[in-house]
Amino acid sequence: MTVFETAALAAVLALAAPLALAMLGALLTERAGLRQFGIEGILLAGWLGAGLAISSGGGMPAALLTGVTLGAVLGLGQAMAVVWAGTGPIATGFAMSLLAQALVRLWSGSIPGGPADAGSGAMATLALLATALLWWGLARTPLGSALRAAGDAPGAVVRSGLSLRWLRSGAMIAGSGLIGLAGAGLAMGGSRAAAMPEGLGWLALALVAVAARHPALCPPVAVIAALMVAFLPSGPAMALPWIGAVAALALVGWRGAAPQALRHRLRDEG
Amino acid sequence: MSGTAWRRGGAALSGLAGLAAAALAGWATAMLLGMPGAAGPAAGSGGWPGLVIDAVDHAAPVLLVALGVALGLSAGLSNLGAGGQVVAGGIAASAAAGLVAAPWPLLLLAGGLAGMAAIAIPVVLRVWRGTDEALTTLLIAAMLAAQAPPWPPLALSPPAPLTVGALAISVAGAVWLLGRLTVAGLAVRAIGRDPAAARGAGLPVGRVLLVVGTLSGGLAGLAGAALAVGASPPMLAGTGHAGVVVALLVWRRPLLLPPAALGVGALLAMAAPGVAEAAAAAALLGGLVAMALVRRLRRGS
Repeated sequence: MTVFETAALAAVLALAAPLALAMLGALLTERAGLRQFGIEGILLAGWLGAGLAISSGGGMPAALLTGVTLGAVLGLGQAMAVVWAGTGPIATGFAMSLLAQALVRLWSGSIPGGPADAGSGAMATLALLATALLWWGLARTPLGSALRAAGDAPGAVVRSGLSLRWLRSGAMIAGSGLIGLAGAGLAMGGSRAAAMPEGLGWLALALVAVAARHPALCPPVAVIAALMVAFLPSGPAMALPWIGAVAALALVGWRGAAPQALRHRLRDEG
Repeated sequence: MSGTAWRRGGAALSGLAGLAAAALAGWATAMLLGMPGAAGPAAGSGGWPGLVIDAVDHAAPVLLVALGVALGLSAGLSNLGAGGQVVAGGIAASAAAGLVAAPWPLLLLAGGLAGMAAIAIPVVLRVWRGTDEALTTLLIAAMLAAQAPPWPPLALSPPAPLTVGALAISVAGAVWLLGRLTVAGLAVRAIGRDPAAARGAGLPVGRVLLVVGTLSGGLAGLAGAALAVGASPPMLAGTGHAGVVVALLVWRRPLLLPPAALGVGALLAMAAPGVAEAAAAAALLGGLVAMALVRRLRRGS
């Protein structure tokens, strides 16, 4: 493998691995029956937190830990509002994304330039581990089937004596932690999107629907999207991943593959 | 009878609690992040009258966006990415100004058309494929934000202060009256409430959604053009988000749209852009939680 090929592969991995992790996080939340519109904010918060951890002398573990923790804390806040107070998941997640976006813009000036450009191999390993874990966990474990039921048949969960609230809160917190980890991965990889990954969260959320909310389909879809981003010349062609996501969404439709509990619209909230 | 009165009173209480919590959360966030103008108008800015005019000028585009998003919501369309249509309107207005020496009303028209174009694909896909327009409008907004060129200076005379405000409030009044008094308005609300039933009743659901969605995008594009021809450097996406915030807070009570937009306008006029955006988002979070809690109390669960 030539030097060029190695560099290109690293560039693709540096984006694909975090993208897959973010998709898996959103997938976990959505399979439990909550839309994850906080993804954009959580991803940016993980990115900023990890960047600050690196610039203050922390290593890769510290940066990843910061990302996961920030993500889980934001997920906890979202779960408290949505699951316990009863706000609409779409509006709440969107508000949280706006808040995090504004705060990250205010504070991202404090990150010194130059990504650490390390750990894309580690991120890829983490993404594959998370894929395997979610695939097996959702399909084969009692907890996984309870989580899927929380999305597909919430009434059955309540009738069987399980706590819908705790299941959904747990999925929201764990999923948001994965998204925070993805944000941290973006801060460490030398990818082009590391410059400030705005809009990547929305892209990931769309790609989860494109991947039919199946864990095993997340990494390949993420790699395809990352290939598009990594090899496009900057300029108008950079619009292509977004156009592609819209087109793919139109192809798969929306409501067919979505869990029962996700088939509501913003208007029906509250 | 008294049950109805109690229900109405409860609904008003929930709205008021939401607005109060929103104002509190927004104010606290702005204070926490540091709001330079909060102590009063800065010296040399024209005093309180100047501040009020400034707030109205900032509120006018916010009201236009909020109106569009609220109109979409009443038909069941979630135009969360209205910020993208605002950006499209701003780009179109400044591009048109670079091509011909058009007066600003024509530029507003160009912006409105661009906003309609920016929402066309999400709305068509929603009607045709059932695609989630909340997500597609956000994707297109992210794409446009990445494309937006550095802002070219517009060499033209901007509209006088308060002009766009007057325009926005008249458009809001017209939309409200049409929605209340016409059969079309009734049809829009019926479709929003239950699309399947509306289709069963013979309403042309797809066509109405196309028209409402196009209007929603057009209003956001208009706001973007108004920002672009305005005197101050435009904050396109931020204003779009502020409009979505206002709409999500009060779209069920349209008469509260102008005061809520004015509140956010004052925030935009006084605080730094990032601070104002954070405060508006915090206001939305606070308002949503307060309204949900009041709703829960009223249901007694």
